[in-house]
Amino acid sequence: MVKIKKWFHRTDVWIFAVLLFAALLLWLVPHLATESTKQATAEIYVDKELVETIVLDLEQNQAQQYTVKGAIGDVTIETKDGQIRIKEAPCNDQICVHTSWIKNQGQVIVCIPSHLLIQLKNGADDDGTDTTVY
Amino acid sequence: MKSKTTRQIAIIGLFTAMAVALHIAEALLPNPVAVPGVKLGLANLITLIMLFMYPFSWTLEVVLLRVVIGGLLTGLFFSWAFLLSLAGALTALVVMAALRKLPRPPSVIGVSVAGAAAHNIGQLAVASLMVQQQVLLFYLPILLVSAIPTGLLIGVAAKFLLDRISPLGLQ
Repeated sequence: MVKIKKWFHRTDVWIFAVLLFAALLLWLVPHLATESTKQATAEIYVDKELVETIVLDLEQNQAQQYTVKGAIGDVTIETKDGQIRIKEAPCNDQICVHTSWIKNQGQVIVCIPSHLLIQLKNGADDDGTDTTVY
Repeated sequence: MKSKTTRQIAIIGLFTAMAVALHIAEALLPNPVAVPGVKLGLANLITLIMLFMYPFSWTLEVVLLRVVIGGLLTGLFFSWAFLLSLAGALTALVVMAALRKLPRPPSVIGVSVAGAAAHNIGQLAVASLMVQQQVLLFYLPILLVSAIPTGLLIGVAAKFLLDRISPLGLQ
């Protein structure tokens, strides 16, 4: 016979605390370590292969489009004003498209169905120091 | 392997059916949040209840059957979504079972929240392996925080159900 009287137990507090602390830590570390002023370089990976590197120009007023062949079809990527986004993707969930524009180092856009990943790295004026911690 | 009693077969069948139904129901619901992996985890309700009522091996059997049958019925069998759901379900099961073995085990709700978080961690780990980049860990904070409300909801539901199922003597 299973009899559970109490709704909560003292151990529950630890579970909540650990979750919140871990989330806060994981959220803070990349955010403190990224800089938004520098020009970033976007690296586009398909199946872990680097297929394209785009330097994001902050002064670029005209949107420019790139097409990358993903695992399930062509993915359209757009850059403008030092930002990059996935404009169109053949996946069902469109999570990558909803991620919208990214511009800071360390930010990523992922499309798992397409096996595609866009990662922002240090810009051209890289001083050789890693500013992003995972 | 020990042969099963009729009772055991019936109970595993019953719970598998419920778990598959919830698995499919959840797959049919549109995702209200545009973040991958943030979902209610309805099928985890069955895993949770079984952990409190039956041996671990029964629960494991139901989880595996649910993921395979659910995968076949949603047409995602052996796709990336199937592997993610398998990874999530198994991680959640192992973590929840381990927490139950603690000297002072958490409540149903505590186990549920930890299970939800474990599910997300397991899924993200497999997703990272598939994309071969650890940068997916950027999603982890969102997924961990989202485990709290979803885990709470499922935990409260499980608590209500356990209070009502246990007097029926289904053990």
